[in-house]
Amino acid sequence: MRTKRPERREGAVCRGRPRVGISYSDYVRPLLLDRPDLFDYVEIPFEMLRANPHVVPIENCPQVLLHSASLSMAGDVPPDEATWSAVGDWIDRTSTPWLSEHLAFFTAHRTPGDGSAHSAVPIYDIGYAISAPMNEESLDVVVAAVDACSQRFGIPILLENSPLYFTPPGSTMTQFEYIRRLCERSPARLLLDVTHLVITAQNLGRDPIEALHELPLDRILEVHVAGISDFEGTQWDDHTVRAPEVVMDVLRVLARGSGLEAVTLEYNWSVTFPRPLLLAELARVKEALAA
Amino acid sequence: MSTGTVNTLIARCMVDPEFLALLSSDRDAALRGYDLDDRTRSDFAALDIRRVIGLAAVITKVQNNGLWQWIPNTRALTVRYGLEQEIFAAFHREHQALRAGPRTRDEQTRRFFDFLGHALAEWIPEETPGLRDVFQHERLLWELRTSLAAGVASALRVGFFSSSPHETIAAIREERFIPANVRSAPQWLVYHADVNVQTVRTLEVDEVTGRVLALAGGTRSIAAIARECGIDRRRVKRLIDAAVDEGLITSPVRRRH
Repeated sequence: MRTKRPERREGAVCRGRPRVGISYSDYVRPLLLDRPDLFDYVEIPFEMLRANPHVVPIENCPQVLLHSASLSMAGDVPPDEATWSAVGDWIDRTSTPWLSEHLAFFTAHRTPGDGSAHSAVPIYDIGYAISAPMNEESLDVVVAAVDACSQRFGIPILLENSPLYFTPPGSTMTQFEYIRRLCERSPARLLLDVTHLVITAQNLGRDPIEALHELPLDRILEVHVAGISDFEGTQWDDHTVRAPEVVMDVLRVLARGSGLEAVTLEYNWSVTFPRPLLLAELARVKEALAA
Repeated sequence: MSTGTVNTLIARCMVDPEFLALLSSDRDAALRGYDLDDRTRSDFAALDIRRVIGLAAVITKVQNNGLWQWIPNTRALTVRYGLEQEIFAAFHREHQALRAGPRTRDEQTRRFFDFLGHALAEWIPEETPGLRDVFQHERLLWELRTSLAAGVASALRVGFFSSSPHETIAAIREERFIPANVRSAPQWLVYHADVNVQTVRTLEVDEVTGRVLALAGGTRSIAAIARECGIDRRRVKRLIDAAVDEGLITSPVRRRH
């Protein structure tokens, strides 16, 4: 595999027009071979590369953005040294301009003697990002985690907002206020998952565009775009369907008034996502960015 | 109040279905022993547990994303009938048990298919036209493709359908699927995998042929098949011979001399 040397500078996939990339899934491999100019970059999960370094044809990717779901930034179970080291290794090997992680936790201390299936393991490993309670105590945890990452990796750290289906117990502020406070207290930049923003706003009865304006837009470097499904009146994240128009509305606002540099199509839950649909989504995104 | 304790409780809901059920039925009992301040305890009391269950279902679904490549039209129908989240909420327990131990991708797929087959038989409403037939069709194709991948030379499956899975799938693909348009069309389909050409072919057969081939797995005699199907032995033999000539089966039955 080709190894690119990283350029350790603030920034950026580009200045000016945001570039458009795709989140890696099995269907992306033939796409990279057939249509190498279609996307400006490929966002790859660190965990995929760690599990099998050859699973993604990095040499065919125009540029790689590394996306992690292993550092449990808002949790109190830190990753082990092997994980830290592997993330650092893949930052070097991919020359990613930044590392994105979730503003969430993946692991938590196990309740001793709970008698459940994995009871010999001292932690619960959800295997999925969930928002921690949004309060000063968890902000302290996240700020410390961002500092640790920044010192260790020397590239910008982007945090991705989680979709909220319920407000985590113990929260003392909204997610929008929480993100604003985080940016006041740390140099973290944002990966705004526009779909998550819309889900959170709508599940809380808020207008997504109004909610967007409560965020520090100048901190947003990258956005994710995916679909939403409705079940019994609740909006749920769904990377197998097209984004609703409100996601494009948010994107249009961001294209006009933020430091946005990268837009990632995140249709990665279906290994057979139809190519015509993907091309249609790409066209929609480009149109929204040009508006 | 410890944020870590809240994380522990939410994480436990996601990986321990028994605990999620307890939190749903008796919140005080579930939270007993956890160090929570009054406000946080009260937040838990006010929590919309359906959304917590929904999150567990979504996580279960996402962690089984690889399944859909085998049953894409079954998925389209579960979405169409608003069943997807309910199915994965019900699969949560088994999924977590699977996560607890080593398993291959094929085992995981088979366990989900067994679960879904059981759910279709037991609790998924009958008013879901096409769903059972499309699932049976896609499952049989998966079984035979798995056989091919494992190098099995020739494999045969037979299914009875009350509607045409091919018609339903065509309607889904052409985005013209309407449940009321699924018409009753009882039919027997034979699925044959041939390792030499690495394909699975599907043939429609009459009821007698379907019943005979369904029993011709090499463990029954012609006489036994004739008895079970209630037809003449010579007719069974003719059907078996025709299937052998077609290359569908090689040594189909125990021959009694």
